[in-house]
Amino acid sequence: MEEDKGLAKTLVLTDNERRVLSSIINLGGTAWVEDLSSATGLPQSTVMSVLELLKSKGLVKEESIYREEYRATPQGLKALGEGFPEEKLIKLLLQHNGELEVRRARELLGEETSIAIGEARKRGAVAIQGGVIRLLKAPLEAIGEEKELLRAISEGKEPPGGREGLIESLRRRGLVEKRMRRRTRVTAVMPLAKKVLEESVTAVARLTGEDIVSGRWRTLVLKDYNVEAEPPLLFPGERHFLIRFIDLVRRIMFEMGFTEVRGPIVVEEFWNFDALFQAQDHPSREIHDTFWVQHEPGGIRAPPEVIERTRRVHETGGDSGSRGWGGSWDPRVAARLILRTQTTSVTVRALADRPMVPFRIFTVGKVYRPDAIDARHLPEFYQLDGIMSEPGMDFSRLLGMLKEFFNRLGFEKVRFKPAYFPFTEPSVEGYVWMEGKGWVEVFGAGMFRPEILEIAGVEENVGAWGIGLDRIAMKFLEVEDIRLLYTRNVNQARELSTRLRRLEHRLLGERR
Amino acid sequence: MPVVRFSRSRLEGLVGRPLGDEELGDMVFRVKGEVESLSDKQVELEVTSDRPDLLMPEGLARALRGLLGVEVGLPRLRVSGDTGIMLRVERVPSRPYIGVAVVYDYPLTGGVLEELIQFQEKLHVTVGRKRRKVAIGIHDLDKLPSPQLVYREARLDEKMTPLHTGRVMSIAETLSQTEQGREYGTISLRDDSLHPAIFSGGEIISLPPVINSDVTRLEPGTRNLLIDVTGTDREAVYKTLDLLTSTLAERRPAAIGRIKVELPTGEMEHHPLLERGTLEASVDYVNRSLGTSLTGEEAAERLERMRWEAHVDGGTIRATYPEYRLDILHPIDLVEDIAMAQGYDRLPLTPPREMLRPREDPLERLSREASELAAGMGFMEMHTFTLVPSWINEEYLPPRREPVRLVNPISAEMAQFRASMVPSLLLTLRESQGARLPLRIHEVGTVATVSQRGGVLEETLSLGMAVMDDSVSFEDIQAPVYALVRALGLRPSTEKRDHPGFIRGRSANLLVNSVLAGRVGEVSPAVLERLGIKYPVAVAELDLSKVLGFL
Repeated sequence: MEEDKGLAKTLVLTDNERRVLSSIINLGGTAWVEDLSSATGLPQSTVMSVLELLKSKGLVKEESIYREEYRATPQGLKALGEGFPEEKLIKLLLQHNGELEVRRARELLGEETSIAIGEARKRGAVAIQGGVIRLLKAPLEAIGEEKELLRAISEGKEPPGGREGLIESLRRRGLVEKRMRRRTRVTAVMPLAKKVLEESVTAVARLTGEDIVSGRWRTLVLKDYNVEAEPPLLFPGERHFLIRFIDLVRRIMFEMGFTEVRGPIVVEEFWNFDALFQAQDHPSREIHDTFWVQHEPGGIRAPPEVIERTRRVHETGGDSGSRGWGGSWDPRVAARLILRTQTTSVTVRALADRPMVPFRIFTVGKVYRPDAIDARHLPEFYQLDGIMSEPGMDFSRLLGMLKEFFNRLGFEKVRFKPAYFPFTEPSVEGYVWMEGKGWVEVFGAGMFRPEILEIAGVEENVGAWGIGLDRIAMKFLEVEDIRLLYTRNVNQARELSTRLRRLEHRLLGERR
Repeated sequence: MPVVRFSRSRLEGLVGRPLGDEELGDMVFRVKGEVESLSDKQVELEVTSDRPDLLMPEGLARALRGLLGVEVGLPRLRVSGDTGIMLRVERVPSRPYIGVAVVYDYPLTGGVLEELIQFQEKLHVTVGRKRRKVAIGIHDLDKLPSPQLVYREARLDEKMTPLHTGRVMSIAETLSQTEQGREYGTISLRDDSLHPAIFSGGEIISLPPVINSDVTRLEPGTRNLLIDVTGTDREAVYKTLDLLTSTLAERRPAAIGRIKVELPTGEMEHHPLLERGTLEASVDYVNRSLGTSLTGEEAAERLERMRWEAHVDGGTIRATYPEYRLDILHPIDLVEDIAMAQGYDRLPLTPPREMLRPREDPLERLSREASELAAGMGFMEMHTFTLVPSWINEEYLPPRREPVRLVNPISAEMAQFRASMVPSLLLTLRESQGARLPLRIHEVGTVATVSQRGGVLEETLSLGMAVMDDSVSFEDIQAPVYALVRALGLRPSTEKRDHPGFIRGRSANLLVNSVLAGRVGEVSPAVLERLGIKYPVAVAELDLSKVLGFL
């Protein structure tokens, strides 16, 4: 068994092992490693590691050969560029009529002065008398020869023979250095290598379709993976947590039999205020509380009879039984464009389409108020508005519906408080009990005033409500800063998506 | 909603007995208010803007006495005989209406002066619409130079001594040199030359709606008050005077004094009018509105506790509401008062019984489908603000459209409504450069523009997709948006078109079934550099409102 296993092991060659081994044989059975790299097209580092594997399989032998090699030192390279120090000295002497004080030479040549004087004297080019250097002969022919040799060495060329003496003098001056260099030569173990090349199967990393179709998979050996290693980081494409929360709310509305409607964000004040019987001089219509849109004066996009009924209801109460607000109603004010401050602008429009009773209608969308941004306020946020009617519709049915909605959303305790909204009567503010926060105001509601029913042209009582969704979403997500709901940071959005998922599971778990 | 501070002992004195913290909180809750803070000395509470009568301790006490059953029905008003004061009203086009009245025996002791000024200021903001519609002046009656009052327009060179200045000035100087003059001086100024004024003898005692004169200044020793109310709406002016006088007169032994008024038409009136309204509603109407089953007597008893007077006649309730209630427009307002007296926690709750068939909005549905497809291709959904900076919005404005600009943006960062999803995507990518690349995101949202010709507003729902990586190509975004359109059973194609904000030669119109429905392209490095985005980005935009038309 042991032997079989060993044989099988030697018989398995990876694709790279096969390439390197056959290259060695093609190069005559012995090859330098650097030559193998060009022969196989593999980087030298890959060749080296493949050779290690081949060695371990006993298919190649390796020998290292050491050779002397010369290389130019940094000083050598400097001398090549600027000239040898003694050359610089002779140039100086020529400029000073063949004589220069040593002191002065030191100023000009710096730390190279001693070497320059020493070398020049050795060559018999200068002499020193009484602190003065005198030029004896120039130029220095020998320097040209040394320079040429140094250049050859610096360029990595093999120095010509018979110059060992000169090289040695360059080495002593520190212009070249001697190193031992290792070259590696590998030899295929014959005839085993050839036999293995012919008989072995190939081990592969990835199985391909071609391997399967051709049937080659039968002879392939698939390499083991490190299956415990960390894979690359991936992130799923996720739905946004706030949209998912809104969809949870929408689902509850659908379960309770509501029809969804949509409406524009940029609206005439008419739909946002006038059709809701909000007086034209009401403070919330002012520039501090409503975003105004720059535009040319235009008309009101509403049926003429709805506009006419609105005028009459505002001025005198019309046929609604109300006293109205008095004064005269200005259609130019109603035509001003704003960003809606409440999604009631959408539901009242749906009401003006006179849906068949019974009806339950809702909308979810952004509303806008010019509030400065902080942890609790944003200039744009989400609202859900609903309206409902049925034969015998009354306030108690409205309260019953709202209680049912919040119970389904997971808030068991709901509390109602008298309130004021210009378009509902009776009006109510709703609070739900949030663990750790106490009673939190979450909605405003009421029965549409008769003035609104008259404007819309509806006979039956209609209950209406608006719910701010952001604060409830914050509770669900356990987020203290409302700005996080609209983060532009993808990593933060991913974190909150995961949080919502976990909280949903926990809530469901609690309810089971 | 307005917030006011009262002396707790004065409030309790007016109610007639001490109130526990919890009891006070509950009672205020039942009249739509909310106690913000509470100590032995002070009550701070928020009240709704439809009940300005609760902005003064006398008014709140009047309501609480009713709810507690201490005193029910219409409040009894003490009105003394003629004051001997006479007001002649001339034609004042910029501010035609005035009402005047006297309140006797209302000493401004203790903190009463502060509460009175607070009442006046809150009324200015609420019913007064910042003094435009209604403004109030309160004077020390005993300092009045003459019982002969005139309300007329004054020339700007006429002289007065504005409150707290102690020196004689022209009206022009008063308007330009006092703080109130600068803030309210233009409201009722006519032709830059005439301003309404109230004269006593020959002296100006008030320059409504700006400032009073020092002559009749209120002081801690003041005992008798003259009140003037001026404005542009007759009803609002007269009802505010009713509200003020009837509320202050709740404090014993205060009494209201009437003033004879001659109108420009020559007609005579006696102010304050103290008009009480009447309403009729059937008991059935009350019960049908609320879902209750109250008897007529029970309903009337609830109204009496809300300080109405109510009689039941067969199935009909005939009710009179007090003069200080400015919010009663319709019998439904009577119904709400019954519900409040009953207590909302004691109203029945009727659970939903009807079975109705739900319906999802088709565009909302499509937006979810598209978003799921995008997420399925690895594009993380983001959801950001719809208000964006102008420069980037205008960079990606669709051809021949204008942006929706705000008149009053809160900051340059949120100056326009986005005209395209591209700005939102790029702003997100800028904040997400710490995320691992490649980064794929998408966002669905409303975009709005105005046509250059005709100014027609267009609002649609749009899907934006973006990919950011060390290097990206046109196909990196074209392929997924094609896949998304195909998955909806539609036919995508592109049409070469150079759009601003994109690399030349690398942007195109996106067509769905050969109809223009969006854009695809590689974002111009000039935009990326301006935003500080360090990696290439390709984006696609698809108009879902258009796509819906093909489904």
